Amino acid sequence: MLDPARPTSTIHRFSWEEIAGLARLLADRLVDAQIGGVVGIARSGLVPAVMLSHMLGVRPFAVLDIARTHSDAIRADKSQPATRGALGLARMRGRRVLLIDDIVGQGLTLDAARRQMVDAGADPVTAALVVNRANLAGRDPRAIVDHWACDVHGWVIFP
Amino acid sequence: MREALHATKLFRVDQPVDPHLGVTRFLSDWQRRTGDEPCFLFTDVIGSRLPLVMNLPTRAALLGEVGLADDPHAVARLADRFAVPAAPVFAPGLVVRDLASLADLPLLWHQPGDAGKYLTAFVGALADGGGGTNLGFYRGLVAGAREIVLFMDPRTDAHRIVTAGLADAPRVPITLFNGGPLAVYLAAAAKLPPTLDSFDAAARLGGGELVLAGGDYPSAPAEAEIVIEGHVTREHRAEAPFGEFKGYYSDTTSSPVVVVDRIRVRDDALCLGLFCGKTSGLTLMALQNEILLFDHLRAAGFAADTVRYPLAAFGEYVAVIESDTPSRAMVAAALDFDPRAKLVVAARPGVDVLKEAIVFPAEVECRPYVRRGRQEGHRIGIFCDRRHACRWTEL
Repeated sequence: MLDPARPTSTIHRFSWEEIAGLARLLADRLVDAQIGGVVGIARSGLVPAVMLSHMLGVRPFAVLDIARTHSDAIRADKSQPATRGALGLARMRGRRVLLIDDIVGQGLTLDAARRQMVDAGADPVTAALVVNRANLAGRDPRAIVDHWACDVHGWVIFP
Repeated sequence: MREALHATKLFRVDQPVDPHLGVTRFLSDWQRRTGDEPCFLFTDVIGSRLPLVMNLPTRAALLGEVGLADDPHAVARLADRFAVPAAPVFAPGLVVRDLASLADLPLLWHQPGDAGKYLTAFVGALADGGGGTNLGFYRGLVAGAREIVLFMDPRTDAHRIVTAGLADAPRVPITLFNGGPLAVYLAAAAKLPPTLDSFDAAARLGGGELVLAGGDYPSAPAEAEIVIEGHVTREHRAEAPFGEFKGYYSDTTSSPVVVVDRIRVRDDALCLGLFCGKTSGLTLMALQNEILLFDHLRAAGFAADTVRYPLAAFGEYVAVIESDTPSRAMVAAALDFDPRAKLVVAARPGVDVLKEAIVFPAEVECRPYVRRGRQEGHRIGIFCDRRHACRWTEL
């Protein structure tokens, strides 16, 4: 839609109210999606995961701890996603699960998480609060994530 | 517009939303719940394939698109630009796909008491007779697949142009466009001198090259998302009530019918919408008022730091002039220039003007407020010039 290849230096700050609003947008979209479990990608994906779990009224919850950035700093170095741990994945077998992170750029973390969920016998539906189109290198976000609530072209600072 | 979209947080609403009150109800509920008006992209407005963008033209978006994001002197910079002619250039437009009907566009029924679906964010372009173009915002009631009842305020140059044109010919060509550079929207909202070509003004304010697409009808920006070409006719029909920006319904008017000859959109078109009375609509009004008053004061020899028209007063009725040398004459000049301003305050930069006027001595000038030829109360000018230092409490 917008020129995805265009470089940007914009920094977008989000408030807690905006985070809650974005989670609500996702919940409105997913309310009829027959979600039977929620999986948050630790750390930051746990915030929207807990919100969505409550908003959708879905109790089964699991955590995937996948590390990608080396620090919390803006423009922090990144490496290939590495799984550090998991909690409750076995409960997700046979369920349609919402796999959620706070932000998606290149999609490597979400892709790694999706593969793990499939390996665990779950049917993942992926979601993110925000897609950073500046990191997509021209790819359609739908190739990376099923649902998202906000587009930006630039760096994001969550509260 | 796409520059501004690129720089904003674009909240997505992907579930189907009804253009009949659904979009405005969603936005209104969101604002009531959160106190915020983020920019939204409605990707599935029922009945249209075009995504709809709402709440885009905020102050940050407008200034960002003209390259003045975070500039504390943006109003002065825009006034500087306003003095330098910048003729637009011409190139083929990006609208390539024809639509059969206005019903194919995501046009909204905004308020329950409105007379129907309205165009609110389309800029009307008319040839002004002197070789230039007059741009303006007009509310347009969708009256059929290819008919619009277009309200033009009788006090505007556009009304004068159409009236003169229809005296000589049965119809007057008009272009209604959506999208393109937001500087064009700013120029369209501005009460420009009738001798100044609106696209020239837009090019000046934009600070870069303005590219137009020409043709048999008045020009539109080459980057426009949607271009409606048609003719204003001598036929009049009723339009309104319509929920105006001040929060009440306007009375029914008898306004000319525009017959639509062609509707074209970009392949990847987005439709920009404006919700009257919300930040995005009021900001255009406020910013153009600020630029024009600042420019006037400076030309009259007054040294203003900046001028503000607060959105709380609909971006029109209260002018705050910040200056190191505020004066009674400055207030009088502003009252002379902008007869719609009910309250004009001149004070030193950075002060809380209400606090200044209340706590310290202030001089007041009172004048009749004339609306549509009749006096309706008074207008007030306040000059605050506290000359002794004071230390405000910190906590």
